[in-house]
Amino acid sequence: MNKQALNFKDITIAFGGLKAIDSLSFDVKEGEIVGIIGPNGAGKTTLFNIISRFYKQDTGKIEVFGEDVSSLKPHDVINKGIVRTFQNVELFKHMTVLDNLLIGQHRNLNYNIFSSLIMTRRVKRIEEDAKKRAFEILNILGIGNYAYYYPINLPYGIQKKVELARALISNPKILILDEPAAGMNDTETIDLSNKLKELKDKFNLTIIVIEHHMPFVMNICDRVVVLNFGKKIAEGTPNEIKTNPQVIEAYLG
Amino acid sequence: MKKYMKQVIILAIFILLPLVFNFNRSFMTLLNMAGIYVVIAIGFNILLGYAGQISLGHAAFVGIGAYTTAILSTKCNLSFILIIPIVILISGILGFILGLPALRLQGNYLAIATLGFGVAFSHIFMEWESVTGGFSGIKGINPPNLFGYQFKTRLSMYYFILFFIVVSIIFAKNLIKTKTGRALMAIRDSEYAAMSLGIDVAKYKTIAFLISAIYAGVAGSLYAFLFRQVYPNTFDVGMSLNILAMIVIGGIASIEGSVVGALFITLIPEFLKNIKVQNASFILTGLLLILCVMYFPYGLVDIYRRFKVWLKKKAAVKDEGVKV
Amino acid sequence: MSQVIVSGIITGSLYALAALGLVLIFKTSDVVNFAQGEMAMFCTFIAYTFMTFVGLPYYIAFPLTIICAGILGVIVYRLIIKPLSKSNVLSIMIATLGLIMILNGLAGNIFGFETKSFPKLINAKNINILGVSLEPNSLLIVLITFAIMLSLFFYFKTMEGIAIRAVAQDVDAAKLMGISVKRVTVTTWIISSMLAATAGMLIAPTTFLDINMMSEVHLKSFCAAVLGGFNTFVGPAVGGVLIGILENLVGKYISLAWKTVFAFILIIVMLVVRPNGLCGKSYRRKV
Repeated sequence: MNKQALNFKDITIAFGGLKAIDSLSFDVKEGEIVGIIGPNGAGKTTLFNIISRFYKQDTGKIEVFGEDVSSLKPHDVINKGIVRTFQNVELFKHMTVLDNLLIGQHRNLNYNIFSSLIMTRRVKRIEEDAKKRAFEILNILGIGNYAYYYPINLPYGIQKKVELARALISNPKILILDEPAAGMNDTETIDLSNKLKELKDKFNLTIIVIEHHMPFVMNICDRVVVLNFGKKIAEGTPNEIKTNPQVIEAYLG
Repeated sequence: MKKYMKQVIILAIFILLPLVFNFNRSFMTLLNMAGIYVVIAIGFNILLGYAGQISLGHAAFVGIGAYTTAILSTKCNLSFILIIPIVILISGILGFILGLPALRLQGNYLAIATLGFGVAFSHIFMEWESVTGGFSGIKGINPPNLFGYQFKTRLSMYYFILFFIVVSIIFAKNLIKTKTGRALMAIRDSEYAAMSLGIDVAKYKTIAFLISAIYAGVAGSLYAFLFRQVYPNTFDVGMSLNILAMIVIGGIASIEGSVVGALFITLIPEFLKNIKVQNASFILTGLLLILCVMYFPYGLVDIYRRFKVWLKKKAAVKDEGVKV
Repeated sequence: MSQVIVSGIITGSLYALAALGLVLIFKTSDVVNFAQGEMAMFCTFIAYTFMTFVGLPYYIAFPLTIICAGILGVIVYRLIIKPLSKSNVLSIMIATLGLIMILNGLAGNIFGFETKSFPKLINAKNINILGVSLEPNSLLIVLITFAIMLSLFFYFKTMEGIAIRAVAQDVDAAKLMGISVKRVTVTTWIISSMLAATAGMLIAPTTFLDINMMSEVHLKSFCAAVLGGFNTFVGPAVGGVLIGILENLVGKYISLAWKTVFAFILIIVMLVVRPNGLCGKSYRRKV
């Protein structure tokens, strides 16, 4: 079996006495696609915000490739190879798609502020390379012709793809997707799931995904973790989950 | 070189302007003042327009630059070549200090904190008599001296200031199209997304305050060299509000907007001087400020841009007879 | 020493009085009205005009001015705040800064630039309590400040108050509950403008009346609100009195010249250490 990419050990976080996540433990193996499902308010996005270090868990720890990341700052998480997308698309809306992708490469651009003030040849070269790479990724996702658009003028599905491109360009090992198929129709969703599988192989990714769209989850995920009121109520392959009585009860009751 | 044709022409116009028109001394003073405000406004736009951080105390940095220059020039007899780096250092340090509250505060609270900073400094300029000369200020600042040439006349100061404007614009333009500028804009648009992509928000907010403070400090130094005397009342909340008005009216997140806004706000009183209403420019500025946030959130430069788009559309309709 | 503290409480209550309207608007619509001080100044000039040019006695000019202030509140809301209701915090803040310029410039042209004196609420000889000399007028101001504070506090517990609070917490939810957000917001602007007028008329005898009468008090009222907590009604009173006392103590025992600098450094530190103030609650920011 592959080694562990992510390991959640006994994570708990409470907001004003209410436990949003309650002693949650599970792991994600390298190269897996793990789906996280559960009713609204089950703590799915909270979990992502803990991985991103926007929240600090009250107890428990998170390990990335065996290393405890609980003390990391939010901007250091990407250096461990983890990058995410957001539920409601957090693109930089006053910047072009291309600039959004250049931000995705921020930490890879090795020049200091003084050399950028006078635009040394090195800065120019690094910037050119970064632009080339941005176009490469955009073209892989088939959105290269939108490079000079502002996100606000693009349809929601394209915006989602731009956000995915922005995440991919940082060369992540672990990709965290918060409802990537939200707002898409069935055909688009199928396209997306095929694309994600393709990208996973191409970039050697491990993917954790929150999604409500069940066919998408069933199609793409190797394993599924089901949360309800912050607790893990089931874990297993999509087929196991489909028939799990507790899961059915959580969704219907 | 063809790429920079437009810029070169504009620069040439500004170089020739005072030579062709032979303005009187008071108008030259006003133009020089406008030039100083251009430098401040560019720096302030990096802070507010690009990084999205408000400051209502920027006059403090202008004052710090001016007083540092005045003291170093009168007491230590230093040349401007040495004074300007020292001003950059001191205003940078103070910008860093003002940036610290910004790491924890946003919007309204940050506005109040920076307002407090501005007011505190305007009182310090007034009360710290042993250093700032108190109410009577500091007089007798030496004019900048370059290889024996003294920038004494308003005309020579015009070119002196123009040099700093050109450098300010080049640096600002380069900054915003590279890593640092993009990081600032990313923080403005979405702090969380910026963090998740590896941008150290605290570091870049501090950088924004530092850069804008340095621009304001250098402008303050130019102010001291222009008038060769400084008074505490100059650097008050009113000046901070004017700086804000310049970029809101000129154009948020636009270097051109900063230039247009600074020229516009500084020159309004000149155009309104025949109107019998006192403080007319003050009232007009307030009115324009409100109208801008309501109808033209990207300021005068955006009106111009929209006008151009409209013209193009009209031309296209005329040419092809189709609606674009 | 006790004299210093008592006069600190008196100046402090002026700051608190000026801050109450500020807090009311902030609490309900998240807007910091930077023009609150100028609105107070403008209304005080209206009162002055009623008394000197129309010749009305104080006790009629005062309520008339309060009514005018209410109208001013509606005008400000209609012309500036409502059109910007969908904009971000920064835009509204900038608009209120623009309003400062407009009101200040207009006031000078309409009412004149020279300094005028404004009558006190009551004129009575100083009284002596336990060796502390007290001016009855100041005492009355302290009482009025606390009365207003308490009535706002209890008003917020009534039906109307609950509506205001609901709007403050969640505009959409309040709409769903059938609360007219527009009506609630305009009400708060009217009340807060009236509070500004009251503050202006009570402060004017101390500062004298001119277009810049409020600049110092207005800034200090910010300090008071920040120190005590921008989100509470008790906060500005606590903050105002604390600043008043500290300022007087610094002025007496350290340096008169530096007391203002001291006050502002205090609020910057306060904002960094405890942005919600002494009386405010802090909560975890949501992503």
